[in-house]
Amino acid sequence: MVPRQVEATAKQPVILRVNRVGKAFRRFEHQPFLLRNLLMRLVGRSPPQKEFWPLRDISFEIGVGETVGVVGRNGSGKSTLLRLIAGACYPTEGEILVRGRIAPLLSLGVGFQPDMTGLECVEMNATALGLSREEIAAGMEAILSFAELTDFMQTPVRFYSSGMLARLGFSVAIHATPDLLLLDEVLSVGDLRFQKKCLERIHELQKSGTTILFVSHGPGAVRDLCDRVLWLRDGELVRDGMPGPILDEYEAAAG
Amino acid sequence: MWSEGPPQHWAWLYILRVITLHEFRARYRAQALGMVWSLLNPIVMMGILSLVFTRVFRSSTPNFPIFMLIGLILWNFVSTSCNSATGVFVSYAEMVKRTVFPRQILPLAIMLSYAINFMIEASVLFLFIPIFPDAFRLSPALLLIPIVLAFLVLLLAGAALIVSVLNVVYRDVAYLVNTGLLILYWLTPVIYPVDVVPEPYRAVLKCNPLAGIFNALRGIIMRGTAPSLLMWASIVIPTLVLFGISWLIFRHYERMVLDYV
Repeated sequence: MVPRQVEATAKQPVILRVNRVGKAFRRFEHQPFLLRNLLMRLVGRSPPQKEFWPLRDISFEIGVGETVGVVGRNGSGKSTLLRLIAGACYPTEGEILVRGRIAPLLSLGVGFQPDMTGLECVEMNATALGLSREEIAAGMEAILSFAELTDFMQTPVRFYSSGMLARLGFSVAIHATPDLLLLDEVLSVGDLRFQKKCLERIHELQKSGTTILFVSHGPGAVRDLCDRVLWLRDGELVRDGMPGPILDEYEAAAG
Repeated sequence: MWSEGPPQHWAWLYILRVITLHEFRARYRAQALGMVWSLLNPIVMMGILSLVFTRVFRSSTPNFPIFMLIGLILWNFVSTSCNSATGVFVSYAEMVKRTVFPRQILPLAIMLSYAINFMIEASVLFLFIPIFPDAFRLSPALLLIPIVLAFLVLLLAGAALIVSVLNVVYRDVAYLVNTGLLILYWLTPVIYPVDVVPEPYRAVLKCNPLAGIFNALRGIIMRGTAPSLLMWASIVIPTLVLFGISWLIFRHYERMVLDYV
C-alpha cells in the first residue's frame, strides 16, 4: 500500500480536531473518605492533592478518510488519548472536536459487563455507539456471525475467552458504520485467521472512506495500515507524519 | 456540524431498558427459589412482626398484619434500591470506562429493576384480600396509587444518583448508606403508625417525604381516603427538591466518576 501524502489529506475536511489537550488525574495515597473529607473541610484543612499528567499539550487534526496510527511505549498516554477522543473521559485542558459518529474499541473486553450475555452486550454496546433499536435488530445476525459467536449469544461474557471478547467487540464496532473508528491494541488478540479477517474489514472500511485512529505499541500493523503516524512519548506528541521514517526512528529508539 | 462528545438521543432509553431487565433477570436467576423467595420474605416478616406486636406488645392498630405488610414491602423497595445503587459504578466499572453513554442510566436502571421486584411483591397484597376483607377499601382513591408511587420512584431515583456517584469518589459511602437507612427506617412509619408518636416528634416525621408516602398509601388502600393537601405537599415538595439537588450533585461529580472508577 502506497502511503498517501499528508499534505494532500490535510486539505480534506477535518473530522477530528485535538487542540492543546491535556489530562490530569488526581493521585491518591489512599482512597478518600467522605466523612473525613467533610470534617477536614470544616476545619479548613483540605487534603493535599497531587496531580499526574498522562497527556499534556497535544494538538493535531485528522482529515476525513485518513488512517492514523498512534505509537508509543506503555504509559506514553496512547490509551488516555483514545479515551478522551471517545468521550469516555473529559480533558482537563484544551478541547476535542469530533464530527460524526465515533466507534471506540478501547482495548480488550470493550467494556462488556461480565454478567451480561453476548446478546445483551451487543445491544448495550451498539446503542452506546449510536445505533437505533431497529438497526441493532437488523444487524444482530451479521454482528454475531462475523464474531463467530452465534452459538454463544446466550452465554454470559465472563465465560468468553479473551479472543471471543475481542471478536465480539470488533464486530460491533465495525458494524456500527462509524465515521471515525478508534482501535486500541485490538489486533494483538484473536488468532491469525481472525486478525486477517479484521484486517480485510479494515481495508474495506478504508476504501469506503472511514477515518481510523489505530493505537499500537508494535509498529508492524501500523506500517501496513496507516498513512500517517503520531508518536507519543511521556504524554507528549514528539512526531507527526509519514509512517516510514517515524517508525524507523521509533524502532531504533525502542532498541 | 461540530459536536463535543457523543450524540444524545432517545436510544439511551433503550440502554436503560436493557440494563434494568438484565439486573432484574440476573437477580431472579441467582435466587434458589426464584421469584418465590422475594414473595416469601415480606410475608414471613409480616407473620413474625404481627405476632410480636399483637400478642406481645398489644398494638391496637386495626388490621395490623396488612398495615405491616404494606410498610415492609415499601421499605424493602427503598432499602434494596439504595443499597444496590451505591455500588453500581464499581460493579459496572468496565462498561463505564470503555463505553460512552449518560452515566445517570446506571443508578436509575438499578432502582427501576427493584421497582419491578416491588410490583411483584406488592401483588401479594391481592392474596390477602379474602383473608382480611376489612383491611381493604374499594374506592376511587385507589386511582391515586400510581401518582404516589411515581413520587416514590422519583425520590429513590434522586437517592440512587447521589449515593452511586459519591461512592465512586469516597469508598465509605456504602457504610454511610447502611447507617443512614437504619436511621431512616425508624424515622419512617414502617412498622408503627404515626399516631403512636407524641406530638413534638411527629413534626420530624412530617419533614420526611417517605413518611408521607407510606401514610398516603396506607390511607388509600386501607381506608379509601385520598391524601390531604398538606400530605401531598409533604410528599411533592421535598421529593422535587431532593431530586433537583441530586441531579446537580450528580452533574458535579460525573466527570470525576470517569477518572476514579
